[in-house]
This record gives sequence, structure tokens and C-alpha cells, in this order.
Amino acid sequence: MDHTRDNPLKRFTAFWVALVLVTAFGIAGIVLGPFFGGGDKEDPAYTQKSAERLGVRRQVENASEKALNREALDKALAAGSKSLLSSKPAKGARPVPAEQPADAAKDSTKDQPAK
Amino acid sequence: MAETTSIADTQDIELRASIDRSLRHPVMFFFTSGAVWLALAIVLGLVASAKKHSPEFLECFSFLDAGKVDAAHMSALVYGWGAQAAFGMIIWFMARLSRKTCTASGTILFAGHLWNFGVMVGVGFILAGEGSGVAYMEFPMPVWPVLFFAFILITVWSLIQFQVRDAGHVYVSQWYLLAAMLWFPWVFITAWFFVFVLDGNPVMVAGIASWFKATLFLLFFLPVALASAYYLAPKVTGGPVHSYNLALFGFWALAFLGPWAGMQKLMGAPIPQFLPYAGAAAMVLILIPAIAVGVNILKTVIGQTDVVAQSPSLRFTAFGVVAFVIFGVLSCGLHTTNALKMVQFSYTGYGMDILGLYGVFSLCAFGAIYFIVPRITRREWLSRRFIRWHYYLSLYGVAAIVVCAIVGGVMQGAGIEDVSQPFGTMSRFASSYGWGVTLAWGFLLFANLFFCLHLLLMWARLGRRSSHPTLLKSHHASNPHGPDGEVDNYDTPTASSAH
Repeated sequence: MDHTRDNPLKRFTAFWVALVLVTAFGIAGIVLGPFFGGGDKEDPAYTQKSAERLGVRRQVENASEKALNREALDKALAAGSKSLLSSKPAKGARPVPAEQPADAAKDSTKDQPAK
Repeated sequence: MAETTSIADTQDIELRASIDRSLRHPVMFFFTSGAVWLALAIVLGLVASAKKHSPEFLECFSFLDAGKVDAAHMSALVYGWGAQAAFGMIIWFMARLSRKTCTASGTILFAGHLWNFGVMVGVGFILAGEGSGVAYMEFPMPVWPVLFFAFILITVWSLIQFQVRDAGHVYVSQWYLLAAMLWFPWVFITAWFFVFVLDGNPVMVAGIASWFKATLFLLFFLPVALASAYYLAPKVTGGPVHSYNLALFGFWALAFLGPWAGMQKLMGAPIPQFLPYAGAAAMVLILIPAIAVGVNILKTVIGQTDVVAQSPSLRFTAFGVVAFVIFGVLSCGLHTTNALKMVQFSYTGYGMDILGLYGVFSLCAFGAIYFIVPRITRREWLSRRFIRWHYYLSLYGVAAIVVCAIVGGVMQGAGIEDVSQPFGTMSRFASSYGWGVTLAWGFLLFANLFFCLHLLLMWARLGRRSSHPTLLKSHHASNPHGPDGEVDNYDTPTASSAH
């Protein structure tokens, strides 16, 4: 062993130098992080923008509410429902996309109560 | 004079034997647990690949959903296998090159268990659906400090060994090992801070994750692989490194270009535009260190074709170095502006990841393992057939994955770019290549089963008690390994140099 290079003091110093080296970026991150807004969970620019955006949204919602004629809407819905109820089921003009699978037909009979 | 030389040789052999003894348990622990993680990573890779072309495969298991299994596969490959193989190589190579025995093998072994525990918890969380969702950093946030603490406990002793080494020559391998040990904490801590600790912009988090992914390979796995290649090529052939200046140039080229790579993945994203272009330029220029290293290593072993053919270590290493040159060429072609537009959202990136992690790093690591394990166990590898199967299945498996993923990725990209075609056409283009990747993972699974079984037998000290290394070509008519006997002449040129 070359005692000029390898001795307990040298090893001890090397241990701490190595620790500082490998953690240097972590230490730098902890020290410098707050300067780059790292610890700040609330972004002021975002908050400011969200207040503006919430204001716009309120305006849009108010305008929609004012423009909405509830009576006319209820009347239209009631008329539509009435005609739907009064109509009788009839064969449609559009083709059926696919036949019902045979298994599904069998399964549907299983759920029927025994006579 | 001759007597003095003989005494010096004996002391030298004794020193090397004591270094090997001091590191036997930690190194074997890293290699065997890494091999088991590799087997798991390959099984997960097979499932992940199958899910890309057949989404209904194993759909009854929710923990094997495509997103979870893909993340678990890459994490097991990178942190389970890759990192542990790298740790084993770092501590053994550094101890041998610094000529210092390890005085902290118990601490390293404890740290190895801690690392395995962290990876196991991380993979478990990913499969439970609690992963972070950040590429290559999929483990949940608390796992990372545990891994970092384990990393420090494993590598700090190698830094000390380097610092207190006997005055003299610093080998090329030592440059790369030292750099890997210092670059890893840099990229690891920086990425962890910016992704998990600091509350940054989500787009930049994606950018930093891409940077971490590229630099983890270029600044950690690649240097360790090249350290192994620069150690084994001259050691096994018995000649010096072809050009010291070229080695120096290759090292500094990698050191200069490596940190810039990664951000090209965010081409077109709302980030400062110089970042993706700088990343793409760095990836194009990686061809320079690839050629420098490739020429240097291959020129070192050229003219020794018999040794390359016989030695498992050198064969794996030579293939790993050739894979690095291929990586450089493909990287140069696939990171131009036109190519990036086409392959950015395709399988191509996966193909490049596997080429780097398996084609370059893992093959060099296998070469190192075939060299180191007989020395620390004082037993020879049991079967040359196992080694040969491992070699050929790895070679064809990794080549098939890279070809299918890269060609399939280009086809996929062409399908995405062709707006006249429906999106399903692109999926059909890619799916047949997906089948190829799945089949190739099957090859690698078989390769690794041979390797893992062989390594576990060596760990149990069931290897051959012979003074002849297990070579890939037979020289003895009666016994392919030569006469059996006690292993007593390691590190003499005849017995050990041909590993």
C-alpha cells in the first residue's frame, strides 16, 4: 500500500468529498429552487388569468340565462312529448344493421319466468 | 532480476485474488438479481408488445393493462436489470483498475437489497395503477430518494478507491466509470427535482422527462458499457488500446454531446424552439463518438479473429460496440427534421431505446459478466452450449426487435402523415411489425433463461473446477474444456486472457 496516497485520513476526506460531489446538484436544487419559484405552489400569473376567465364565464352564463325563454322551451318540449306518445310504433324505412346473434336470442329466453 | 519479477507477479496475483474475494458477494448479488429482473422485464415486454397488436390478450387481469405493463416493463429493464448490472461492473472494474480491495462489501450488499426493495415497490405500484405516468420515472415519488440513497452507498466506495489509488496511469475505463458515477447523480437529482419536487409547467416536466430518458442512457449506461469494452478488448487480446487520442476524443465528444440530447421528443410542443433542435442536433452528432469508439475498439481486436470467436466476453463486447455504431448511424438518420416529423409518435423511439439498452449496454454487460464471474467464484462456466445459445438468441432477438420497431415505426409514421387514409390504415401497417416484436421478445426470453440458470448455478459455486476457461470453440478431442483441476492459475496470460 502506498501510504502517501492511501491512509485513513485520505479515505475519510475522499468519502466526504464524494458525498458532496454526488449530492451537489441536490444541494444546489434546494438552495436555488425557491429563487425559480420552485416552492411557490400558486402561480400568480395563472391566478390573475383565472380571475379574468372566471369573470368572462360569469358574463357568458348571465347572458345565456337572460336569453333563455323557459316558457317557450317547456311548451315546445310538451308538444314534442305529446306527439311522441300519440304515435304508434311502425316499421322503419332504414335497414337493420345486423341480425341478432343466435346466442343472445337463447340467453334472452333464459331470463323469462317458467310458465 | 527474474526472481524479483516472479515475486512481483505473485504479489500481483494475490492482490487481484483478494480484490475478487472482497467483492464476491456484492457483485454476484447485483448480477444474479439483475438477471432475474431481466427475465421479468422480458416477460412484461412480451405482454406489452402483444397488447399493442392484440389488445384483448390477458384482458382479464386489470394489473396487466397496456399502460401499466409497458411502464413496468421499461422500469424493470432500466432499474431492475440495467442499473444493477452497471453497479456490479462499476465496483469490480474500479477496484481492479485502482488496485484496491473493497472494505465495505457488507454496506454495498445492504444497499443492493435496498435498491431491489425500491424497484420492487416501484414496479408493484405501477402494476397497481399508482405509477407517476412520467416516462422512465414511472415509480411513485417516495421511491426515488430510496434509490438515490442506495446508489450513494453502492458507488461512494469506488470513488474513494479511485481517489486513493496508487499514483500512476489512469485507464480509459476509469474515465468512463468515474464520469458515469458523477453524471448519474446529476441527471437523477435534476430530473427528480424538476419533475416531482418543483411545481413546474407540465410541458416542461414532459421535456425534462425526455431529457432524463436520453441522458440516463448516454451518460450512465453507455459510459459503463464503454468502460467494460475498453477494459476487455485489450485485456483479452493482450494488446494495447489502438489509439489513446481517439479514446480521449470519443470520451469528450460524448461528454459534450450527451447532456444536450432528449428534448427532440417535444418537437412542435410549446417550449422554446431551440431545445428540440438542440436535442435533435446532439442525437445526430452522437455518430461522432460512436465512430470514434467503434473504430478504436474494433481496431484493438482486429487481427485477433480467433480470440474474438473463442471468447464469450469479447464476442458479446464486440457485438455491443457494433450495436453502438449502428445506434449512431440510426440516430443520425432518424433525428433529422423530416424524419422526426414522421417517427415522433411511432414505435421507432421504442426500437432505439431497446437498441441502446439491450443492443449496446446489455450485450457489453453480458461480456463483462462472462469475464468477471469465473474470477470471483473461482469456478468456470458450466456449458459452452448455454453461452452459445444465449449469444445467438440475444443477437437475433435484439436485431429483430430493432428492425421491426424501427421499420414498423416508420411505416406507422407514414400512415399518420398520410391524411388521405383513415387512421385504421396506420394501425394495420404497424400491427404486423408488432407481431415481429412479440416474437423477438420470445427469443430474448429463451436467451435469458439460459443465462439466468447458468448464472444461478455459478452463484451456487456449481461451476467447473478447471484451470481452463470455457471457450466457444473446442481444442481438446477428449474433453472440450481440457483436463479438469483446481482453479489455481487465474490471471496468468494463458488461462485468463482468453475469457
